[in-house]
Amino acid sequence: MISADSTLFGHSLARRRTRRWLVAAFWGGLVPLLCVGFHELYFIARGTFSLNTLNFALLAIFWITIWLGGVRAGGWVKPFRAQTKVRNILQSLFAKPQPTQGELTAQELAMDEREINRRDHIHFVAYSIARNMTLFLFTLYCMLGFWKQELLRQTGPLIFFLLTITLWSLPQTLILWTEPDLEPEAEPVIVKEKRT
Amino acid sequence: MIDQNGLRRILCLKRPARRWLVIGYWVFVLSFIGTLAVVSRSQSPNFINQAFFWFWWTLIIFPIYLRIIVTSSTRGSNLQTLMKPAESGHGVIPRPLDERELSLHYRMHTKAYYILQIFIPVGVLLLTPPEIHRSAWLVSARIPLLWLLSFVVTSLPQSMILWSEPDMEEEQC
Repeated sequence: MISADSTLFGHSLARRRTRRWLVAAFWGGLVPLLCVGFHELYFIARGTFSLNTLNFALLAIFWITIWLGGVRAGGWVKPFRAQTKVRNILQSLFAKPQPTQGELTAQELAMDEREINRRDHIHFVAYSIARNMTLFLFTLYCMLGFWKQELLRQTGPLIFFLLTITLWSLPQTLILWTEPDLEPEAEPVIVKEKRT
Repeated sequence: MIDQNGLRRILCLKRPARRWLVIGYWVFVLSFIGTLAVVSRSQSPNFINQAFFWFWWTLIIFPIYLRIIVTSSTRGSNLQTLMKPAESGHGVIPRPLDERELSLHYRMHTKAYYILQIFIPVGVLLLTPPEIHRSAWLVSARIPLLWLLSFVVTSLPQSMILWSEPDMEEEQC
């Protein structure tokens, strides 16, 4: 599920400890930072969902997803839906599907059966967490509305931004957190035939 | 994936019957939310919140309608399933899920998650457009939309399983 060659500041992501630090930094540092940035932009726009705020939200969500992986564009986690064959008629008419780093790499990134099962299980867990979180945040949103309408106007978009960024990054972070240490792949043994 | 003791005796759980069940469920949910919204709008502006507030329990009751049909582990501790696969320990079905059923169970959650990844941000954008605070209609539509999103989140995988699972064999009916 994880590219064994991936490194972060010289530390290999094959080690689970490194990945867990990464996930902790992501949820403990980056996500709160993004939320603060979003909220500041929202306040600069005087409490309206301006184009700048929307742009920031979209960029943050998509760049973070690409960074973590799970998409064809790259990242530490293998793409969840690797596509190596042309399936779309329009796509075959106008362009070939562009794999990440050439056709061979795209085929290598395709998951085997064990990885697909693992991916599905992780998505099941992510769905369960996301469902509870969604219901909790929706309840919080409604409660804020009942309590004070002004508070809803101030914090509502932030709640939804947090929800969206969680939805787009939860499976990847669960994989990074739970996947065991990766063993280095054995180098292919080249047997030289002795000429007699 | 289907509860073999309950509705099987009544419907034998043929796929068309199950699909009608799913369609009926969503029509009922949409009608319920729509009716509540329309009735509430004819009352005072604040009544819409109050009406939905008093019917909060339907968010729990309606999805259970699907859960008693599908052997889902949604009532268990979700974090525990990370360590332990979904089991049928809730008294809903007499036997644990086999490998194929478990695989389908997870696969449907994966597909549902992909749908959710699109559906929730779109719903959020609808909930918070720039002029939402000026338009009374959008303000009043906020709570019904939230309800719809909540029903989607709680019922989507079950609906997908019921919709896609093939017919059971005759001997099993």
